[in-house]
Amino acid sequence: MKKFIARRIVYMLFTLFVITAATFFLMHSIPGDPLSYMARNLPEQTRANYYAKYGLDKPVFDQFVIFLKGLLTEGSLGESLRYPGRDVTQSLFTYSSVSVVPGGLALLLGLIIGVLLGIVAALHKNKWPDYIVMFIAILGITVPVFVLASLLQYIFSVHFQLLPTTGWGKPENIILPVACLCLSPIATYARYVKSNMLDVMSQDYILTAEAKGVSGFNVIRKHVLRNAFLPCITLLGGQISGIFTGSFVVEKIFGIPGLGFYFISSINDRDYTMIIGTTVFAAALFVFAQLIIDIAYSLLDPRIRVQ
Amino acid sequence: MTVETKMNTAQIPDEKFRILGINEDESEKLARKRVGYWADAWRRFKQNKIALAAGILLLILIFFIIFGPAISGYNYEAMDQSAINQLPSAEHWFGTDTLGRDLFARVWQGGRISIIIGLVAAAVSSIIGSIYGGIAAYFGGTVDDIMMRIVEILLSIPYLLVVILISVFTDSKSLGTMLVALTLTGWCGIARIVRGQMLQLKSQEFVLAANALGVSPMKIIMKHMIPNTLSLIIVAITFDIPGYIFSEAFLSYVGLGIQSPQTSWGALASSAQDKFMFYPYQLFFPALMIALTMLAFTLMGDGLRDALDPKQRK
Amino acid sequence: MRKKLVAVLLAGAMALTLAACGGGGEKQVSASAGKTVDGNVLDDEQTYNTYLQSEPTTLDSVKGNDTYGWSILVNIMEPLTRVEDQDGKDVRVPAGAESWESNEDGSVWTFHLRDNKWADGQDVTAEDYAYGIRQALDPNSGSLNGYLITCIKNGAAVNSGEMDASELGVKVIDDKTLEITLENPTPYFISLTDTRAMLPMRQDIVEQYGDTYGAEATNIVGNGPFKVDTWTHNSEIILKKNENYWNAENVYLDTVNFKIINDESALYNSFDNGSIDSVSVGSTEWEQRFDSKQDVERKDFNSTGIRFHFYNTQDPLFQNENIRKAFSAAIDRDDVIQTIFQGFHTPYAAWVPQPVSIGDLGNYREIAGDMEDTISGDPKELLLKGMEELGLGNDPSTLTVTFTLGGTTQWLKTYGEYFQQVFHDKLGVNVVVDQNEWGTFQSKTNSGDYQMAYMVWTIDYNDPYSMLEVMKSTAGSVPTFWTNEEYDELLNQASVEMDDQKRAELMKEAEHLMLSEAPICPVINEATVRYSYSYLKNLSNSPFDTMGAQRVYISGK
Repeated sequence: MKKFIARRIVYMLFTLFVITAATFFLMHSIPGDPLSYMARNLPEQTRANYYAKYGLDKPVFDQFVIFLKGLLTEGSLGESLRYPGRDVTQSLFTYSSVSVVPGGLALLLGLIIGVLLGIVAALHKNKWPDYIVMFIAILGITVPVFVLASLLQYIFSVHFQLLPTTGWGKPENIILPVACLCLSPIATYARYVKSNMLDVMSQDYILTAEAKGVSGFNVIRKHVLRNAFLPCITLLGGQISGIFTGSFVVEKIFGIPGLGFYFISSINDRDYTMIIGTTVFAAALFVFAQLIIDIAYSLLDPRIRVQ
Repeated sequence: MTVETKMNTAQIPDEKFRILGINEDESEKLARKRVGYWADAWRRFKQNKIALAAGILLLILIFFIIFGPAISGYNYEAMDQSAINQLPSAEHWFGTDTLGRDLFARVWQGGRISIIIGLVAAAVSSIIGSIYGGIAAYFGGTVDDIMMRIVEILLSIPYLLVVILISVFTDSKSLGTMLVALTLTGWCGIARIVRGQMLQLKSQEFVLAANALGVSPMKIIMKHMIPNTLSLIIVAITFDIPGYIFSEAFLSYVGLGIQSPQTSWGALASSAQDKFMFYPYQLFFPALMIALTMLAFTLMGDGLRDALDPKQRK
Repeated sequence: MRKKLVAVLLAGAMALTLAACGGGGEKQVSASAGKTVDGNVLDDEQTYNTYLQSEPTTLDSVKGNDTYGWSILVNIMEPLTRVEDQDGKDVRVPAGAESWESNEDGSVWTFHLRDNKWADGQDVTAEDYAYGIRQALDPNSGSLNGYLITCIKNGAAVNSGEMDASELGVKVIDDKTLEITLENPTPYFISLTDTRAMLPMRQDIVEQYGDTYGAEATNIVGNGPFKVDTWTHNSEIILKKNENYWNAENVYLDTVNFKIINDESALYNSFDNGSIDSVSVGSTEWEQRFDSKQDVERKDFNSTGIRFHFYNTQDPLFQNENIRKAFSAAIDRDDVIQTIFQGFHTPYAAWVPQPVSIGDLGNYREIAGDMEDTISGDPKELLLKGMEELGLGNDPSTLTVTFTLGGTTQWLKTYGEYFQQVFHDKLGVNVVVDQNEWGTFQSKTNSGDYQMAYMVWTIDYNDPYSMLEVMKSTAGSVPTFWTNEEYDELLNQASVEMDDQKRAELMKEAEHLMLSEAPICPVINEATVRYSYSYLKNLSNSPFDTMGAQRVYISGK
């Protein structure tokens, strides 16, 4: 096991390096530059001064070497080009610590409700509770988030004036964002859990257990649930990194100062350092989550042996 | 095959015995006729009324997508300044948009793009994804490690960068470009799901048996492992189809979607979003179509899943 | 399993309770409560809730270049002079400088500073203003605003690094006197004193924080009517009254909250439920909604943005003047405004925005006329004439023209679709709409990889020259690649002419000449409709006003 983890960590570092390099050269090959966020062209001299100051006048490969040097020797991702004076590493931690509150609550809520709904649907397959659950699950993902967010904001903030429209720091600020964010996990988990449970319930060992006279409840509890959860771990792993990286649309509409906003805006602004920063951050989380999943798999499922 | 037969005998429920008893002639016939895997799947699919209804709903949608623009009697790109932002009426069944274009024509025209994108992208990425995931899981070890690292890399490179690059590189935002952009990393999700499931299957007895009998790896993946993963793949596909429709909408939203004057459901919905309080119907119809498509695919997917799952052959 | 579930639920509940502890707030009675201004009694609470549509890049006056940061800077910094809207007229009033004078030909300006203190209690000196100017021109400071003041003696040379900052024509005579020498007499120089390039900066603070100066609320010290209290990035900036400000007794507000709201419907929703006190509206639907709202006041004005089409004069097709004119003549501005903006905005055929004034003469547009006569003739005939000149035959349907757009908003997509149809109907040509996100758009247009494009230009400072300069042959700001020696010469004369009347004539001639050759085609002068709750008093009504929120107060909330 130790050897396995050590090997995976080496792989992880290599993967991160490839991601960084690929993103670095990709972003420098798309048209535009960090000054293009401005609605106009600046005079040549101003542009030249700016390029020289931030080292953008050097060949891309040299810039990459300088970036790597900074990262490896000082652990620094550099200074944001769109927001002068803001350290990218610092920003990543500040903004992601905001995103994690609504993101985490939504995932937690989504997981709990989704799994419960999935169990209900599987146990009452092709009966009305199943249909109702699946209908709810489907509804949750048929409405685009931007529509749902605007709709909720209009109903609760403008029409009934119960909740604030935008803002951050007060508990009432996160209610609507969490409501918007948890629908997709509810739908996903409900459907996957249902599907997995049905799979598991038709397996031989369940039949064996039933035949041996184990009570229905215990079969579900001891055998079905455990095995039905396994594929959900893969899903969960993908979503854990998502709660740190936030949601562009929800953060934009509800004015949440999280990290999600910067994933899109940094690319539109050609804020090179921020693009790399967000990418490396998300990739590291994601890759790390993969490792955890694989470990969790081997712990939870005796049939999978780590080689 | 041997395993399946064994399972069948093990799983015959009580009702079957009763039916046999009641109608002897029919049972004789059934017993003689060999029911193949696909025929059996089709038989079970037909029995699922809801799945059948979903299939019919889908056919209706496809009918309108093909003939709707013609039925409307309007050109989907013709503007009419005298009929701006009109409510649904006898003249304009779904109303008109901010430039006075007939929404009935536009919704169905947009449906063509959306459905094609959804179907083609989901099909391509699930085929690539299942084969890729299957290979990774079957061989395991270093092969699996490397293949999964490639997936991680692809999933981690910012998607928008790739899309911008593709549209600059090809200098077009045609349907084809859109499909390439969407499927380029789209298959990774399915690959991971399939791999996860197959890791489980790999150590099961029937795979071990096939292995011991010297069946080729490709055949084991295609004949044994993929069919046993189908239910999961189908659920994933039914998520993916609307997922791609939404992805295209997001791209439209950031100006990288399908090029004007073409349109799509996603593009229609996002263009109606900022004023939905004033003209809710402009948002309602494209959103409804997305929802209906989604509903149809999901219910049909559930039916297919039940029908195709070898473990549920009863 | 059940135990785990309970634990998970508990954790969730705890997170919620923890989050709930952050709330709470108390009402404070303002020092200016009970005062009477213009017959209105001030409320106990003097808090103005307003908004920014995007996060300011930085509060460093030279490194930033965005209007959002500017909205904060006018409140926390004291420029030498300010423009105040006095009953609909833009008047330049003393601010950091008590008085100022120039020599006869307008090449040397002397500013006499008033006694003022920085927010941390230090005296404001002439050196602080001189340092700010030097920073703006320093090629190594990351400044984006040096180009505005290259009219200062040796300014261009310092900005390009050829000359040392000590040779700049900025001289500190004593603590309270600043002398600025210009390269040439510059009639509009005073208009530059309240731009980013000439704001004061504290050398010790700038050096203390280095690169992070202005990046956080704590990393900046100002000398304006307000100071930065907190800045939650991408969420909110809270300003508090600066008690050290020289005119603090006439500043009524205690707090100004700038909420950063990126999303448009969220913005209007916020005004609708009273979270913010005023809002500028850009569409008819919201206009109607707020018109029917009670206790809300409406104010219409033209702003300083011009929306226009521009042509690539090096393109095989658009090199021809008649072709360009045909595409300009095909535009029915009233119809554009009716169809796309439902009556919002002002149809506009001229280049210099409507509110711009010239020296003490008043409104420039009233002197120069509407420029409607610069393009005339039947669009189709112009097109056929141009095609003949280029030897392209007489069938417009053989032409395919690309209309390049930069930006991702929905209305812009609609805008493109509208013109696709209009050019097809009126000229018979096929139009391809090429919508790009902004970076790609800039790259394409700058490299001449386009035929016809759309853009907005907002004026830098209140003088027609600021707008006309953009089209000079050497400017390159709008990449039409259009050059005209006569135009350049007229502008060169206008830039040194001290007589406002003569300048107006020169600039009028230049504007007319340029529009007649149609490298660009102005379509719209942006309009703003501002709504504010009636308890909010004394808001400025001019786009050029640089007083910030120092006159604003709350009465009757």
